[in-house]
Amino acid sequence: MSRFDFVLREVFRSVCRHGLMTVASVSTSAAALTVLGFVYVGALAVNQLSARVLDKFEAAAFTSKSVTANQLLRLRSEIQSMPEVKSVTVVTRDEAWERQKRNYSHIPYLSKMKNPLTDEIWVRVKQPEQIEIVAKRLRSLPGIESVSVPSGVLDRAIRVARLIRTVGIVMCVALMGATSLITSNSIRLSVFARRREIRIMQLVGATDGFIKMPFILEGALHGLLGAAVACILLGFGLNQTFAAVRQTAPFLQLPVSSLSLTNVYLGLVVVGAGVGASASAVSVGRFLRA
Amino acid sequence: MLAVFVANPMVKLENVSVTYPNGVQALKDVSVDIGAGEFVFIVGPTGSGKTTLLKLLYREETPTSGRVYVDGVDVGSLKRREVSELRRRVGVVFQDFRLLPDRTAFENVAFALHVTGTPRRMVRQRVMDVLARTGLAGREHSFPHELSGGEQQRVSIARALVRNPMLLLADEPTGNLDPNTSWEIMQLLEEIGAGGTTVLVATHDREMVDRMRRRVLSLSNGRIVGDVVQGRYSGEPV
Repeated sequence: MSRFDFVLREVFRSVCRHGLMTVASVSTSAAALTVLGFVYVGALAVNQLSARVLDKFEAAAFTSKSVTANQLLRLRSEIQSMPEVKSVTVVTRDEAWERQKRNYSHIPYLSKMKNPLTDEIWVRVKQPEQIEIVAKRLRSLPGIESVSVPSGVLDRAIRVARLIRTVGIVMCVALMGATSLITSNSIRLSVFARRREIRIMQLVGATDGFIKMPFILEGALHGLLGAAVACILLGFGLNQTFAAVRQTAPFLQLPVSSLSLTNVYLGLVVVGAGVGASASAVSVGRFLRA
Repeated sequence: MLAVFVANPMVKLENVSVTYPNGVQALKDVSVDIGAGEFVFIVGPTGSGKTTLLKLLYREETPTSGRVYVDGVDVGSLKRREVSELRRRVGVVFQDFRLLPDRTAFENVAFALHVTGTPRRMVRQRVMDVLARTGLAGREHSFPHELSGGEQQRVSIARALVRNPMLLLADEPTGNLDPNTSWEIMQLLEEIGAGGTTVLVATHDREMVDRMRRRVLSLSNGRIVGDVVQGRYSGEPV
């Protein structure tokens, strides 16, 4: 316990003594983490929007006319039990005909016609990529006459969504790299400022781990404080953005819920502290081996 | 007489050579035994290899060839973790004291205990004891800049002693001190040696060496050119 006690004192001592450097390090990592937060939330929003678009795609299965109401119910539950299937909507041929007649009420002879339609089963899948597999399986079911899938459009939409996700991931990784570079640089300054102490620690037989500990904690603390500042900036910025969007484009439903924002804040804190700690571990380690 | 034989050496060098990356040969085929509890001067002009020899013993340097043993342990082959174990048992004192300027005498000595994980409740007593032993009672709250050169060197000796080392290495410990203060510091080192600690002192101080009549190991150009049990700076017996 006394070791930990001593280490904490050393961290406090260093933070106080190198106040200006601490401020510099915290504010640079705050800046990087803020940008990271905005990019992440942006990517999240675009991703959710594209997921919502993809979710609208469904396969339509049309039964043969001989299918009875009971058979239709059985088909429905069979499709429902497929693992890839998210939801099933059944439109009976009577309902479909009513809808058709309503939609085309300006064509008077429709009402005198016999119903030419079949029952329709609309299937949504969990993963848009699985829609072809599901369509194939639907086609093999007895009583299903044809299946239609919006393949071309869907393919393009999936590709765009993937691109968006990849770009988001690349940007986030790059920003995390930048944050760790900034933190490790300021820890290197702090190591340099305390080189006498470190050399004496080595001389009197302190282990590498013991010497590193205060710097790792200091790095984590810088990251943590930076993340706290970043969360405040991000929260404020997002509020402004949401307000502006609500005013100018109220029809656009913002997909970022408050729950996922809490996760973003937590994520920033964890990333900030983790990156700070590991960046300083690396730079002290390098100094000790020099 | 060029060699002193010792039964159970605290320090043993076997055909040790050290060549620095810039090509300078600091030690050339040096072999020597130093027994536990001995007090030995290492003398020689600047660049003769005195500091390198001491550095080998606390593993600041490793031999290019040959072997270095401290208390029977081959220190050249220690792993990083074992180096810190070695340094806890070997105290080192320098010409420039190497104290932390923003810590008091007490804190400077306690630092050596804290960073090696000594429980806090044991630190105070041990530091006060060693400060008393090095003649610094009452000076524990002074910062280095408030102390004289001799007192600063006492603090650095106290720091080296606080872990009760088996071996104490002093590299020009009186190089920055006036003759009277130097004599006092040397007396202190001798007292420490009398307590059973093996003491090696590298020095230029001809007068001091002649006066102390101790074993003298003379180095020149990286070679041992003299080893006398009771000697003078010149390498001649008393």
